[in-house]
Amino acid sequence: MRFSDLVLGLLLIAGAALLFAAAAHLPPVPGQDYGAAVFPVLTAAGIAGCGFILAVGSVRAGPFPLAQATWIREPGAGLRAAATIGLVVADIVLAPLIGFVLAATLVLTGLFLLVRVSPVKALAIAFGASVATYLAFNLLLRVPLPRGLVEGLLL
Amino acid sequence: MTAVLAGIDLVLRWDVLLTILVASAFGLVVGAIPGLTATMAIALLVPITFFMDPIPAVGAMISCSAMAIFAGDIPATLMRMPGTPASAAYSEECYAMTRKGQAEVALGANVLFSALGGLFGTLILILSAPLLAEVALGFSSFEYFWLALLGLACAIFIGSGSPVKGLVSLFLGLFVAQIGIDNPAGVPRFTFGNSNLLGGVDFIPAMIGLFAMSEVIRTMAAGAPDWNIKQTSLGNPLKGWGQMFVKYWPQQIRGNITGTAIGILPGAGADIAAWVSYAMSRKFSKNREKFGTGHVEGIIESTSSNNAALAGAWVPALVFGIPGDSITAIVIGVLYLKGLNPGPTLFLNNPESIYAVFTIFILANIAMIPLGLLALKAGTALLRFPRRILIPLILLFCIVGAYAVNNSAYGVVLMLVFGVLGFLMEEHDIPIAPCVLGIVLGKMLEDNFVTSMIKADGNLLAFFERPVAAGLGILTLLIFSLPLWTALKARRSLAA
Repeated sequence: MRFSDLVLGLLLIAGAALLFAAAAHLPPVPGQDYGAAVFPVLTAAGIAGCGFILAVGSVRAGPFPLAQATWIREPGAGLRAAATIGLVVADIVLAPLIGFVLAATLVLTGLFLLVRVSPVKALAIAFGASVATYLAFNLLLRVPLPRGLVEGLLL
Repeated sequence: MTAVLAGIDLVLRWDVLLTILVASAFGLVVGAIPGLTATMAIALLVPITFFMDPIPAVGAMISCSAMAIFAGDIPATLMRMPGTPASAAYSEECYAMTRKGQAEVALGANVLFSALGGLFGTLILILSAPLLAEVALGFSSFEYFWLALLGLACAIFIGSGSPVKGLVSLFLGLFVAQIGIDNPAGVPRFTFGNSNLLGGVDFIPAMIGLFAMSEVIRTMAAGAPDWNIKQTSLGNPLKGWGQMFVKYWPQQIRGNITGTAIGILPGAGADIAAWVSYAMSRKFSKNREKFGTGHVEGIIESTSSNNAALAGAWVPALVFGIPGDSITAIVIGVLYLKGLNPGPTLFLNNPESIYAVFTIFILANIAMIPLGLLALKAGTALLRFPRRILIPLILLFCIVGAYAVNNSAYGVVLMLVFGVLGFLMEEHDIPIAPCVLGIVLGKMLEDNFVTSMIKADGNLLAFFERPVAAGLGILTLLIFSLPLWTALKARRSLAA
């Protein structure tokens, strides 16, 4: 999904207004002209300026769709992108509850299925890769990945 | 001399050499896979370098990036798909040679001249960095403010694409750099009550998100289709090395010089160097009509150039702490983590580390020849590895790498947020590199601005009172006004 430069420009102007409002609340430094708000205000002005140029340029360029499909040419592309993001969120939520290996196996299996790897192959590679990654990072690099049932059996 | 020997001694140890070898192999694999960039290789490598001593960590990053930039030439030649953006400039030319049955000549040239270009860039790094460091010792906050701004200006206006979208990316990066408590007033800024954000946005999960996660989302959306590989076997890549070396020496020297110069320029890196050198080669060639038909001349010049740029980019990174490209932007973050704070004092306080860096550069570029030749043999097999298996596995590395930064899920959350941001930015043709430089240089820019203003009692003209600061300031303002001038010129010619 791709917005036109007009929509993008307007979104940037709205974002800049929010940034400006948030910066206005930052306290000044006593005895100094330049405090914590200076750079955020300059940044907000810059973003708003860019948004304005993009929006005006888009209007001048003539008729345009407000949004258009780019990579979403084949059906399911948007779903696969959203599912990929959703699976990472699932990992963040599940890993502390069920341990790294099971959470990573679920995420990887989900990803493999999204790109049409056969279910048995997907599960086997996902589990193998998760165990190997756990062992490599836990044993060699001493990263305390979240522990659960499987990790208890491994080490 | 003692420091030089100590530096060499730091590198010639089995653990360092093994790390360099493994990182080189990793760089070759990532670089050879289209869509995965050298910057992504470095971003994925960073969490592993946490567990290394400073010298092997730096060695891993240098050798990985050098190999990845070269390896990008392999799919460019065999499939017309550049493995990294740095190979894009001459992938058509390489592929035209493959169609003529000369893939081994193109790849042989890529191996040899990449290594020579890298060695030339290293030579300039060795000669110029210590001299520049001495000059930089006299720099104050005024000069550093302009240097930071110059780096940002170059990133926007020298790169390809729309300068306005480059600016949008830069401002996003500057905004990210403003998050946290480390600001002139020492108050929480844009932390939304989240204690994790008080220390600012962790750079490494952000990089993994912007460079790796965004690519994973895009490839997953496309269904991770496999590549269509045409050429299956290669002849002898050593064929014609001597002849090419003798015949095209002016092209390689020109490529080396252009690449190193572009690399040194803050914000511009290997991909821009390759485009400029290819165009230059065509312009000055006596056989201009052969370009695009599978002619090795332009390949030699641009492949020399992109590897020379890689070493050149380390000059501003080591001397001023200002990244020469997006790879050194990540490297600077790691140098700080490892206590090797970049800047002129590093040359005074820790010269052996600097000489160790130089030694690694030399070793990595020499090792590129045997490893590169091996990679050519393995190249076609590597490209047959199914992407539908590879891409989910990369996502697993992204998750674990982001987690390892602070051993908490917060890193994974940051990685995801920046991954989605990077994906959306690229969907809208907003380049990522200026955003990264904004994140890296934002704090330096603000700190030096505020310090300078306190020193000058709020007088903005003080930024032009010291000769070097004035020179840098004028140069920066000229670069910023370049697009305005171009737009005015275009309007005038349109009106005429």
